[in-house]
Amino acid sequence: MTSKLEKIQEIFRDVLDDETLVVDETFSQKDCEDWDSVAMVQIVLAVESEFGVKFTTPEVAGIHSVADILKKIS
Amino acid sequence: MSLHAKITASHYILPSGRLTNEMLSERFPPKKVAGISKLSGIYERRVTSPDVSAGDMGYECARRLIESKDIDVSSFDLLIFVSSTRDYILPPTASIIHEKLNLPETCGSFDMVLGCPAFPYALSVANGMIASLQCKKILLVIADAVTKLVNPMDRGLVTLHGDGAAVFVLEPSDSSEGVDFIDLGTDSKDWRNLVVPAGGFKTPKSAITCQPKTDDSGATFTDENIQMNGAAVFHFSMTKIPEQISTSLKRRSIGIGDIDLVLLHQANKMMLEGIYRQIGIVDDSKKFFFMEKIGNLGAASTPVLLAEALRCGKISGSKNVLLSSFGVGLSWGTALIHFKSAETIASHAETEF
Repeated sequence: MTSKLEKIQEIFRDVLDDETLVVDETFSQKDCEDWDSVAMVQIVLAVESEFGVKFTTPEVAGIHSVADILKKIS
Repeated sequence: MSLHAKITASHYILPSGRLTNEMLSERFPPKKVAGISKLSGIYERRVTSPDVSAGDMGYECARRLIESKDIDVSSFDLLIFVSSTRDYILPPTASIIHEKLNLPETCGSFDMVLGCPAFPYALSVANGMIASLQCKKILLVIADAVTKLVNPMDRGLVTLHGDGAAVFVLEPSDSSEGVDFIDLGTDSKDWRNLVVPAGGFKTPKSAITCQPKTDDSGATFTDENIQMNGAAVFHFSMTKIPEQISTSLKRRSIGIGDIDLVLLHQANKMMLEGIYRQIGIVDDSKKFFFMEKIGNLGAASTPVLLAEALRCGKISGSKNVLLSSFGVGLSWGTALIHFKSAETIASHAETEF
């Protein structure tokens, strides 16, 4: 069974166009210069679609790491 | 039918300066520039030179409209100038344009300081002035030089924005022609997602506010530049705007099928396609995009879009046009306008400035 973290990793690999990317809960924007505002938009849309959740605008503004995303879908 | 405003003349201009993706690829990683363009639908931007202001564009646009339509300037009784980049703290830029156009003393003038959501707000004020019989002929000038607020090294914003101006003449209508409704709103708890922190009186410009800094996403800016949480503003637009448009129509028992054309603030093509989809617009003929070669023009974005739709014949004859503008505030506005003989409205004067 694919874990939530593995699904998120797939989303990040797809959006950031890096098939070797490995992410864990601590992975943040500071670790990846390609994770800019454009990538953030794509990641949020993909997470909403994959997990059937809807972020609020303040929640989107508060995303800086994978942990922030996991908090929403857990 | 109660008195309301109708648009009787329109024009727009764009600065001749061009900022292409090739030029930006010398400043930022080409792959990044290409990726942003793919999402935004913006591949070139029209940019003012340092010596050209929003007021200069607004005046020139109004002058060309007045000359090409042979409008008697003594007939205006109000000038409204709308911008987020006015020429001076004081006086209002409207006063400067008023002088240059030789408008009469009986013509009042004032500025409205607004960004991307500006157009429905300005239309609403003009409509109210006409409906209350205070004015019979209003010159509405919307001009923005947003690129002057964007840090040249902020790749998330410099890739999106351009400058431009549009002008409309509004006059009374007692038929169905003209403004049907305008709804305005603000989600003020999210204003922090789009700010220029310094340069006003709360935090004046200083040696500190002009220092560059870089955020987690790699964007470089100072406190005198636009600072935007792009993902949050994108999310706000994708969720709030379709909901608000649908509510406005439902409240008045208007079906989306009754609308001939939907004009949206030209922020980002992917975002706009999402909004169109959510409000039930599947017919491409009801969509209109004009950002690919000019960029997001801030307050002037939706006005230039409408002026171009009138100029190129996208709006002709009798048409029901819904327009929605949104952004800084975070605010939004939606207006429904009925056009008749729309092909007579646009000026065909030069648009290059």
